Amino acid sequence: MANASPYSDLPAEAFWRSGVVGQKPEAIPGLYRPKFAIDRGTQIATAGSCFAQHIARHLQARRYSVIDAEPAPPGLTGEAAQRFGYGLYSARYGNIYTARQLRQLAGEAFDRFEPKDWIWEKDGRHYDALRPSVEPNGFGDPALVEQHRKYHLRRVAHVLRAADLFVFTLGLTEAWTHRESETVYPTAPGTIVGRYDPDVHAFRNFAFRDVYDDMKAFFRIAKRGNEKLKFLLTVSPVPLTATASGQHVLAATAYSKSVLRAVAGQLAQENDDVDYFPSYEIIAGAQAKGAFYEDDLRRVRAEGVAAAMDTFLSAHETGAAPSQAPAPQPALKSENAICEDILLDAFAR
Amino acid sequence: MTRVCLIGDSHLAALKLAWNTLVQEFPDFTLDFFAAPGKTLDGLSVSDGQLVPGSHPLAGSLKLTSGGKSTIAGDYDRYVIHGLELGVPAALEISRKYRAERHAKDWRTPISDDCYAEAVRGAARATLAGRTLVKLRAITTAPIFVCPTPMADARNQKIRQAMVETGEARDVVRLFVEGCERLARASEARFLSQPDETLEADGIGTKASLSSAPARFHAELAAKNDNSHMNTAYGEAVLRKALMAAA
Repeated sequence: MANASPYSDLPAEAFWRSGVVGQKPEAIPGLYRPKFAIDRGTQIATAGSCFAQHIARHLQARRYSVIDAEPAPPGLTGEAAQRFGYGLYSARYGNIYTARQLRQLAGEAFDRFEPKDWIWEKDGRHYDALRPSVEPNGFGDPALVEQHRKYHLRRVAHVLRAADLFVFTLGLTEAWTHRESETVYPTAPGTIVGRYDPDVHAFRNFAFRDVYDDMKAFFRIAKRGNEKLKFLLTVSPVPLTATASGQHVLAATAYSKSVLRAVAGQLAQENDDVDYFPSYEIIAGAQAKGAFYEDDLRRVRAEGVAAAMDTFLSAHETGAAPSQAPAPQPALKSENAICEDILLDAFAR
Repeated sequence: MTRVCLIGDSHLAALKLAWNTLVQEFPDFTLDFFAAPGKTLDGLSVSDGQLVPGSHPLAGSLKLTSGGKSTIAGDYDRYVIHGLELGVPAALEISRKYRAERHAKDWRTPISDDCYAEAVRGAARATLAGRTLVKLRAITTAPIFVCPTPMADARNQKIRQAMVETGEARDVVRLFVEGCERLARASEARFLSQPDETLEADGIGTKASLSSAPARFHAELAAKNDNSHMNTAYGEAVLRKALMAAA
């Protein structure tokens, strides 16, 4: 005999009222059901937009095995180390905001992809435009930028070969590219270093298909030398600082996050070795009523990061008491991550 | 009388022995020494305006070396912190694994000049001397002088030789001294570098003559081939510099 409704046997979490309304926003039951186990022996690599820095830091604080293929020299600690891009991710790639940037990096490390126009100059100093923030004062000689990038790419290759799990936080769909070669940059030319030239540089706002294809291409490249590698995707809940899309920044943010969320969901549905962790929903969801954002409605409060990470860790640590977790290193100011896009505020009218 | 409190590790022994001869030279000073081996001074904590030991062994060391006091009072006129990991070896460790832009290309990890400088300067911060200085400043407003661990003597150091030839050695020492000065300034203290007359010409080694028959609080602990602890002559040079600064 047929049920009265296909919804009648569904669990409480399937309904907004019982699954969301009335639940504690920092601990919504059933929101994250891991597809695969992660334990302290799992070799974890992290990358992504600035929100991903929190993930690495919290995992390290809980003594998970987070790969650090480019450790800071002894003596360089705390904020000084972070200023040089150490300890933020598994290698010194800085923030990787777009899927295209990630694909490009893996392509450089493994596929002989050669970016174009990637050494930028400012005041006689030379910078790696693909990670401009990791050397705040650049180098005196462009040859040194090349030398350092070669070393970095070897370490990136090591990360991808050594990892069991690659955690990537998708941040943006908007990016600036080298018009001719389509080399994609993490920051707009002229924001930190370099100079914007409309004949040379072009704006791109990647669509679903672009992001999806880029992620699939990245998976292929990364798994070529490491078949066991699994992927955990998250979407950054941090809104855009600015948009060059011509849309209102609120609409542009909604577009960007929607595309990224849809791609992450699609990839997790299609692939056994890809999972999605809903940090975006925990922090930006209606149930949080904006409480996890600072007054600028952009930066994520420490409570928001903690809520997301507690959800993640408690799902992987049966019987764990999140409140007993050691506090992560307080090296970052508040829960601010190092985000180049904040610099765009300087250009805000 | 100016009352001076000297705090340090095994390297303080050379100053203690030197005081026996320098006492005539500085008749207006009275000195109390507080020493404990290795990292044990990390067990000091601030309590009621004093530094108090957190363990019986540390209390015992302080009593033994000071002549009966197991706590460090905050009412001295001057303080000297000596050694406590504040030595060039920590900075040289960075050079062993990392090279800066201006260094010759080799197997070491390349880092920028800025990063290298920041790391070498930072090596001073992560020392027992740095931690002790912060605690000490919490109990006193008196002048504090910070003296480094002596550089190892010049024997048997191939790596040192290579660094001297490439010019890296002076670079490291200069940056490290800057780091020590920065560390001291942060606590309104003054860094006193190793006296020039105790150094080899290359600037990163102590004259071998100053490490023969090194001073140790416990003679039985004196290790063979000890080229890091210095003798009374070295202690005289350092203590004289410290007391002249404190005068």
